[in-house]
Amino acid sequence: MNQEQVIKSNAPPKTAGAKSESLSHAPDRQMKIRLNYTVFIALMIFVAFIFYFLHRTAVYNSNMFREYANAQQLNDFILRANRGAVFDRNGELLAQSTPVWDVILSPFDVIENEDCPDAIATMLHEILGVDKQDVLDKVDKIQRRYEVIARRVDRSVYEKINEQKAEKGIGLFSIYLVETSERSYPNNRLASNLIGFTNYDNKGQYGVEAYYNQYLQGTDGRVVMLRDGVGRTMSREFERRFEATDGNNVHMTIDVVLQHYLEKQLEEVVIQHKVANRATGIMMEPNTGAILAMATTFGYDPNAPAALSEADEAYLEKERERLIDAARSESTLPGGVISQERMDSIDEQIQKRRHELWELQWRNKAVTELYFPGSVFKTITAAMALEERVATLDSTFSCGPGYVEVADTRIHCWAYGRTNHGTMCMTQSITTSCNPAFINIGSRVGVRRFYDYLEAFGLTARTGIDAPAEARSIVVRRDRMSSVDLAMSSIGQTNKITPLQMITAYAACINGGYLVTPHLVDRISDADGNVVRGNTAVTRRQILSSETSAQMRKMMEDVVQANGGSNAYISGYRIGGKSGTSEKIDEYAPDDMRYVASFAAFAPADNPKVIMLVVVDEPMGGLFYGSQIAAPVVSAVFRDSFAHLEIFPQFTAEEQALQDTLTPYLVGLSPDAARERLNRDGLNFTSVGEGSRVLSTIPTAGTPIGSSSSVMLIYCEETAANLPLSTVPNVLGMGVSAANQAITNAGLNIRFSGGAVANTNARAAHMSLEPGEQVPPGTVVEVRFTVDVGHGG
Amino acid sequence: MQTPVQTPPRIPPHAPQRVPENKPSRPGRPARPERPARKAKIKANSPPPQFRRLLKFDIPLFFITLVLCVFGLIMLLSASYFAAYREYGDTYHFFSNQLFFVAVGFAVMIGLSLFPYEKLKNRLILFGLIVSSLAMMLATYIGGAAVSQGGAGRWIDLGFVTFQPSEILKFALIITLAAFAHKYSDLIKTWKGALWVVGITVVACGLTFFQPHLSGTVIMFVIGLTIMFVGGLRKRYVALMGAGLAVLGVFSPVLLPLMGHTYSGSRFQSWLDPFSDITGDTFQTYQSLMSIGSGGWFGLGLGNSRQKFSYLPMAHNDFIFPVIVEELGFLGGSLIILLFVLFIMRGIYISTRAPDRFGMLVAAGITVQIGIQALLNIGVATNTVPNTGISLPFFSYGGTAIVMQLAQIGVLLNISRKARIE
Repeated sequence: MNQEQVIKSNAPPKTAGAKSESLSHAPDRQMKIRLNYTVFIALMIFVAFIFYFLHRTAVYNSNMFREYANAQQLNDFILRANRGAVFDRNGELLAQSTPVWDVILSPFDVIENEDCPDAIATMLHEILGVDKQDVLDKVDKIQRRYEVIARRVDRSVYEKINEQKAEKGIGLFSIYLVETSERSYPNNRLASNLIGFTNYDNKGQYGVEAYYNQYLQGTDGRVVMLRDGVGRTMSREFERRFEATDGNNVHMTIDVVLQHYLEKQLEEVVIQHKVANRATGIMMEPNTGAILAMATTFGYDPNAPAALSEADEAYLEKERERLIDAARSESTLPGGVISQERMDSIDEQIQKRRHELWELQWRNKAVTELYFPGSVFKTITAAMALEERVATLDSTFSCGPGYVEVADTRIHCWAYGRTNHGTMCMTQSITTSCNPAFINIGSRVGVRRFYDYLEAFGLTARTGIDAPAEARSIVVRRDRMSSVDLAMSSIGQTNKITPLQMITAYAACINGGYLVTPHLVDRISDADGNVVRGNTAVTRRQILSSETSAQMRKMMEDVVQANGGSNAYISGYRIGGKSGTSEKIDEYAPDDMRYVASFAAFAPADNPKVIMLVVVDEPMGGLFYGSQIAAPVVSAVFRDSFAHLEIFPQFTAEEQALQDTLTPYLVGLSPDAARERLNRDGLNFTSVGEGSRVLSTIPTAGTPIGSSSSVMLIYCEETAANLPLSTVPNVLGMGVSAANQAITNAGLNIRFSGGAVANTNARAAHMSLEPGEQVPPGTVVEVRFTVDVGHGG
Repeated sequence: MQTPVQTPPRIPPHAPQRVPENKPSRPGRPARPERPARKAKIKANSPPPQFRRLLKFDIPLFFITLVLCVFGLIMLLSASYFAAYREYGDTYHFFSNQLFFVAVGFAVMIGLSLFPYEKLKNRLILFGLIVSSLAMMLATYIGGAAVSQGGAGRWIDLGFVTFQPSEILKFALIITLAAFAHKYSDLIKTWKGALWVVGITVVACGLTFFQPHLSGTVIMFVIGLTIMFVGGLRKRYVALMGAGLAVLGVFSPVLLPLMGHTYSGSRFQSWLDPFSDITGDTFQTYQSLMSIGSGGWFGLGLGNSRQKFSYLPMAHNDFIFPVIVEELGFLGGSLIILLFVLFIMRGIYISTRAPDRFGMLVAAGITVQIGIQALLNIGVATNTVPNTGISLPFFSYGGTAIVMQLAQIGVLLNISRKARIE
């Protein structure tokens, strides 16, 4: 402050000299300088600081503070996108989402808005049927803003509540309806393993729901609202809406009709043969890879995916009891008391087991699990040999002594000890499924080429199906493949593959030699029907020449028709196929062996429209050969499906005789007219009572009956009611004609079923009515005939 | 604009023609000569002489005050309507009250601008002012009349109005110190004089401090220091006070809680880290920073503050500045600061040209009082200084405060009438 010094030195004349009061009262220079410089500058320094801090907060850190502010000011609601629907190939609905609402009460706002709690309780009671006292109790929690009154109410309730709110002004600001969506599966269990389900977050789990989740789920929207410092929502002008985009619809390749047939038969076989590890089946279009049906038995109801079957629940309960008993007997505490830790550990084990059971019922066995294909694989081995011209259809092979020795390892034929297949041509080898013959064929192909084919048939890589968690096959490494491995591989006992890989490779053998990519979804379309993504048939490569493929078709057809028809045969249709029975050598000891029975078939044999594989894992009912267990399933499903698939029969005269006809409609006809009508259909008849008009018939009109069955014409109801009941005879094990005779003699009608009816070796294996049952005369008894000579391998 | 800083050298401090100005009543003094120039001017212009006389004060200061008041009313309406509706069911509750007091304040301001400021140092008025303000301050300690608000007994309820006696005390302090420095211009340069002025300031500060009212104390101290310093206190004493203050400042976190300011310690902590306790101690600061941060450069637009919806505490009072920044942005906030800077500059300008020491010191005291209060309020809002609970002059809601501020500006305007202003 030099200046100040200067001023001071100049000052004396004023302060010392002029004693006048007036002069001393005038402000001096020093004061002015102090005020104008020191004070002012000090204030301006402060101002500069303030500017710095203001800029730092308002501009430099603006985004950070704005975010904090938004976090406390904005209230956002998610607008749930409606999840897309799932359809089958014919537009049948498999899964859909419908909007539902949660009814939420905000006790805080009830108090804040001075709503009448009683009016609210009454209204909610009337509409939702909830307990009034319950609601009042919730209103009492005045600090809370979110009390759930009801979950997942449908649109009608939603509209009713809104109406009441608007009309009576009850709970205008305290009752909220929060939209969510509910996934429903109208077909319940059907195709559950393919479709999957959604979890609580509306996210797909398993199946198509998981694989195509990103297409199905859509994009959620949001409503952003402003709320004030005490949490109340501000007026609408502050509201911003970002609309949701609904998910796309998925159109699957499956056909619910075929799916239903497949599941029905698989369930039957699982029960009949006490299958321990589930059964799976695949129906596919061999030329495109489109899956027509695919099932794992048993599935689950995707509407309640966490529910286990009664048997599973019972098992868990029993397991729990067993563990508790074990713990009690081990307990060192007095009275066998179980410690809390032990109890917890038991609960944990049970919970773990429950998760395993869930996993089992949710997964798609055909895609996610591996098995030894067994003799079905011999088809592939045969195709390799034919394509490589190391064997022809006329080449002969021998069963040898019933076994073959490869590098000091003896490999038996499946029929070792019972029969010897002797010397056979290729078709006979595959019909008898002779192991030594196929080990011979495999060795002719050789390790290198065999492995090339494994790769070519897609058995070393995933098929690329659009389903989650596809398993990767376990195949012997190329450089480690010994002659024993080759021998075992030739008969399908070394490499573990998925059923889907098997059917895909099998399809390549018969569709002209092309390896296709199997797929479950045909296309994905948006809400307006525009195709968002199309899964066209993808042919990965051609493996076999069309000539080889034609030879394969012929050969497989011969296998099914051998000896007048195997269990897979359906008269009038051209079906090709191969059974397989594999030993689970990696899981069970030889003296406690369990088996996988399978059968692969296609039809029509000359131009396959459908190919099917049924795998029955661990049948424990005594029988275990694929031809005994899996082939009848294929046959039954085919028989149900052919009309739907527009595959029509061409019968030989012999076959025609065994065909069913439908009981004609005869009610109201005169005896002569009825007789004439029955004669025309080749049916016999018996008359009951006297009359001029037929009152009813047994069986009733429309019931399928075997040709040459007898229809009972009833002219008098009273007489009919007094007729003695017939006893169903036991025909199990009888041949076709013997069974026919026995049933006809009992005054009943027979209906033949099973592919092997025309086979001279066929025996009745199953009857639709229990032997000994008392039924009205003329009732139809369905008898299924199977060929009892096991075809294994 | 010509800055006041450049002017002093051009004004001869001992100019003879300025001597006789204010003391016509004293005997032995020449009567105040009439200024021919002024008379001629009045004659030349036709408006009634009373009205001319009315406006013969510093128009720029008056204009700045007017702008601040109008701006303040607009922002008060924006900041307060939600709280007014919530608390009183009347959107305009705070606004209309404030409008009334601004009108009263302007009347008082014009009135005081006609009241010769020299008379304020008359014994009777001065003692009346000192005694009444001290009495009211003491009354807050006795209770009964005191209203406890925000944890501090700093208000007096007169039944129809509540007000802070410290507002009166500030003015009394300004007048007292200015009168002392005026009368004892030589004494003040000695340690005795220094002891007097420091003593007066300490009494005023102490009374405020133990109310307890920290922000009032700080302002009281700044006023005292400014008047002492400008009034001629030797620099060594000023430096000594500064050193003492620095020591106090260092120990304040320890000392303040000991002396009744239980909540002040945490305020220092809050200042250093405004995020340390956002639901408790730093709640106000945090909300304030969020408001200011939401503003950005240009703000959300007038009336569009969201923080005023019950987030920002006292949005229409101590924390009106964050609302202004939220709505008008950094630029709007800067405009407010610049208006106060202009006010300070004009106040200093008038002060520098005051005809006598008393006028100069009173003008400086009033200017600094309003200026520092504004800057401290903005400083609190921006977390430049610790949160002390201080209102923004002309903007914050508060009837007595705005009347008191306008009254003091009236005094300032009266000084400007007699100042040599080109």
